[in-house]
Amino acid sequence: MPAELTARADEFSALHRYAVRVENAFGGGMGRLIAVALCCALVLSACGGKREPGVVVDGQRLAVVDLHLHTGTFDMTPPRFQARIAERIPRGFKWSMGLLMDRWLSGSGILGHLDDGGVSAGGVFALYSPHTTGIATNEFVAEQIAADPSRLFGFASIRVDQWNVDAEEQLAAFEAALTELDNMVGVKLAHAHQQFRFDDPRFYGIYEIAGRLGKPIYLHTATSPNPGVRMEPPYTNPYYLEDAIRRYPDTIFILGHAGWDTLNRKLTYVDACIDLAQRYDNVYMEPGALGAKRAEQVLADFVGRIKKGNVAHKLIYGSDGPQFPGYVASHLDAFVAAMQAAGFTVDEMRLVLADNFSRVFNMPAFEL
Amino acid sequence: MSVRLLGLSGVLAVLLIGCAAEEAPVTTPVTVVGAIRAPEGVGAGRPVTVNLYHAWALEGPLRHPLEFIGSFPAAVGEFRHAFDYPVELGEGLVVYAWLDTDGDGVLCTPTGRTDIAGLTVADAFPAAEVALDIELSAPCAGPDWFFPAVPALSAP
Repeated sequence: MPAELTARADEFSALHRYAVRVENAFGGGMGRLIAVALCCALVLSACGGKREPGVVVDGQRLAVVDLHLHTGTFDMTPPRFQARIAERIPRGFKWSMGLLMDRWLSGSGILGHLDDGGVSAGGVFALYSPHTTGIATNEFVAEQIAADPSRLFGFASIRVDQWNVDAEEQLAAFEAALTELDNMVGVKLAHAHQQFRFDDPRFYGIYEIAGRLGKPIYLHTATSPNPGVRMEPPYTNPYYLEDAIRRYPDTIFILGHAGWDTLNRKLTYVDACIDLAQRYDNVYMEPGALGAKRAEQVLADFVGRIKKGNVAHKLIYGSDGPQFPGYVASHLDAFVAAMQAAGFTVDEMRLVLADNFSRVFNMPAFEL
Repeated sequence: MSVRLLGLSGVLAVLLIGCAAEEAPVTTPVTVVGAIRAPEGVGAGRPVTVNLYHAWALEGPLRHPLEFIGSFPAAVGEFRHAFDYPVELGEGLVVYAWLDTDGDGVLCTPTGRTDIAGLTVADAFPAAEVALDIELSAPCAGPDWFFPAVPALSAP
């Protein structure tokens, strides 16, 4: 059976099991009603439709890779973040959040979001942020990207919250994940979510391993609207990372969100990111969430600064999806439109949307 | 509109707007008293920021140290602070403080590395009043620098 059909069959099987559980829990009539509502929500969530791959710019169709995608499960999400996610669900349907989230963030679900957006491939992040957004283990990510290894690439992470106690053990597990799990092409860190400073030398061993193994590090910069995230400059301002950038020239640092201060809806650290990308060969940027509705007031300014700074060759496209159905596609549409409005050439857009990813991660160019 | 459709609409309306409001976290009043100490002559008159944390929070794989409770301003010397301890959001009490020696409002910059920090774990907790002292000495150290502590080496 083709992978897509197998995935759909799995989804409907899971849906059926869940509907039976709901029906049993609430009794016949009410249970059926809730199950019907759940089905409607799931059906509506899958209504994006498959796009032709790529985006058309000046008559040329360009491939797109989305560096920044999340996986995970509701059960491994802390209660505060569960509540934040559930804000997107109408009150009476919050009980369905677990099923919806697990489905949206699974490997097959992510492939569906990519198809909806015409995106060729994506990076899927592991997460060890028990204070904030939860845990998606390296092994779990490996399972999800196995849904289609030609389109989903893993980013391993490392647990750091008890570093004085278990640093050696964590570093060994991290290195094993990067070398032994299939298709792990990079590293994901989020200092603000994981509560460790950019300038804390105790963690420099992480950068050493990534450099030695040739695995670029994506790391979150600036703030976040998520509960429990550290907002102080040592956790958010990329200049605090400059010492590590200088000490580990063989390690590639991709500055996630490119300094977009999403909490305050300002480009607070964008110029710092551009400055670092201009001065260091091993620094790149990623614009995740800058194509979101929340950033619509600053997106034109952001792409204008990238253009003016002449750093299109240092920007690797990512969305911070899937978030909700349709997000991956709408983020891409907004970002491409902003680049066109800012006067990006087709060649610059080709770099941002796919070729920078291929070059940095040492992969062949993505063909359509 | 049929009775069945009306009933369905009613049920959906209840589902959409039903549900009670979120409950406020259960708290208990706690007072922390003690002294904040810094090396003589360092940061005299400069502000100290004190952060309160649960020592541990959540269970299973999500269990983690240093769950933030709240923050208050202080100075080097004696202090006393009352707060509402969220009983169900974690366990234990850890008090962390840092001294802004250069008065720039941030615990060190990439070039300014003189601010110092310290942390004390409340040993006798839970308690309505907790007495502890905090020694500030580690430059540019976040709370995770201190807690959980490096395990003591066992005697040979």
